[in-house]
Amino acid sequence: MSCTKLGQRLSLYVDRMLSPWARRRVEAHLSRCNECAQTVREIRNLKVAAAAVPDPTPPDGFWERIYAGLPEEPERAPTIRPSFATRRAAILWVPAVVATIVTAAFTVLPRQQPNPDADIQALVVEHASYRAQSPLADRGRLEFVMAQVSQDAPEEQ
Amino acid sequence: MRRLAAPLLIILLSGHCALAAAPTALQVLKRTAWAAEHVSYQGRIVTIDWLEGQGTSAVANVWHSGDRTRFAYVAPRALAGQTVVITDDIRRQYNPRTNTLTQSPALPDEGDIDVALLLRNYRVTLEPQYQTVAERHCYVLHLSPKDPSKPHRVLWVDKASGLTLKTAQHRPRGVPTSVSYFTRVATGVSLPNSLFKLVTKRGVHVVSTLPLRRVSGSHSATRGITAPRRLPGGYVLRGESTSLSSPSRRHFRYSDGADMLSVYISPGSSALPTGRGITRVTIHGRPGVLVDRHQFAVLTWTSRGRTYALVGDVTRPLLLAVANALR
Repeated sequence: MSCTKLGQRLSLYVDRMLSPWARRRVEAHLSRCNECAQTVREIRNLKVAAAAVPDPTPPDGFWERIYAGLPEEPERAPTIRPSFATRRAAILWVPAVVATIVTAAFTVLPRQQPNPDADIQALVVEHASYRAQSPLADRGRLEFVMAQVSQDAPEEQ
Repeated sequence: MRRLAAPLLIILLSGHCALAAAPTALQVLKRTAWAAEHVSYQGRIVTIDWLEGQGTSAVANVWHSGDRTRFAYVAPRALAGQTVVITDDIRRQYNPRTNTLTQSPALPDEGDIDVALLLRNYRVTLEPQYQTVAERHCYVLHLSPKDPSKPHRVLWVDKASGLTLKTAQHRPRGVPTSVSYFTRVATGVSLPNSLFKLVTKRGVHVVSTLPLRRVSGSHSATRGITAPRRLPGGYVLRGESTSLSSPSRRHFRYSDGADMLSVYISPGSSALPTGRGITRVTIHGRPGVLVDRHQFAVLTWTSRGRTYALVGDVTRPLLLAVANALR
């Protein structure tokens, strides 16, 4: 294996994320390449330094205060109450219009096909929902998948 | 000589005790499955996924107790500030930026791990030395699939609590597909109920990705739809139900002991996905479509007046082999 082929594997090697087969190949290369061995030492030093940096933890109620600071939903415009004559006309005409639309939807207009891409999304959510509950599931990863899928969810169902 | 014999005996006995105390790979596996259900914890978890050479990562603070979990995302930017709370078999994700609450079911597990099935499909081995994750000593457990087209999995299991603190998964020849690990963790913690209550702004917009409860019984359209008990890759049928995504669709769930594969079958021929990112394939001489969605491969096709969909975290050759076995 050459230095160029090693690429990102050095970092994965340090993180012990390579398979035994790949790890042996990297180790064989490191035993004869001083430059890559030095890079591995530097990555390890960097990891130690990064681990020493403390995680900032938000104080209690931090997110609640952030939410409170976000703008509220805009107020709706006031509605105008229709006159008695308008309402009487609506009582007569609205059912007729609705009946016409419903009839057209079932006879004249073509039946709407479900969106196959949205359907795929739903299948993945259902699969991941079961998978996440398995005792050997990688919950952090499956939760990340669910978070991304939910992010892509259609606006209205 | 006698002066030497006593310390030597102590050294020999302590060595023997240490050997006797060392757990087997199977014991560690059972312990981590138990701990996933019973150990409460709080910490920070990092997840990295690689898909076709591109990596995506997330950082989240997590709290877990009993069947309740809370995730607070710190990264990536698209998820930062979002909170997920899983309680009462429902997963709720709140996005404060759009004031949207997205709900989906958190479905109950279908039983304990099937050790016999797992051992039929995986070699389970324990590394002789401990490794450290989040400053805790861990056993390193390898689940090596007997079918080379399945992912190899490594679990770092906390020696003290049994909790899995790191999981790495890679394809054959060492290509990593994902890794998730705690950067800090505290186990056996007592967590207040208030942590598992989701606070939202007024006028929140609620969206459900799936119905939150399963419909009992079977839909008349799905009567007569059956699936084989066994599939290629060592998968065995573990459960079936009406799909949450459509009452006229049957959902069959298969397990190989460690992983899961979903088979969805519905009557009639539905439109297949189109657009970018799809791969056209042939199943039983009929066209099918393969799509990757967030690390899951989804294969859909129609055959003999039915629409099939397969969802799993397996390689494409295995998915195609499974599809060709479904008739």
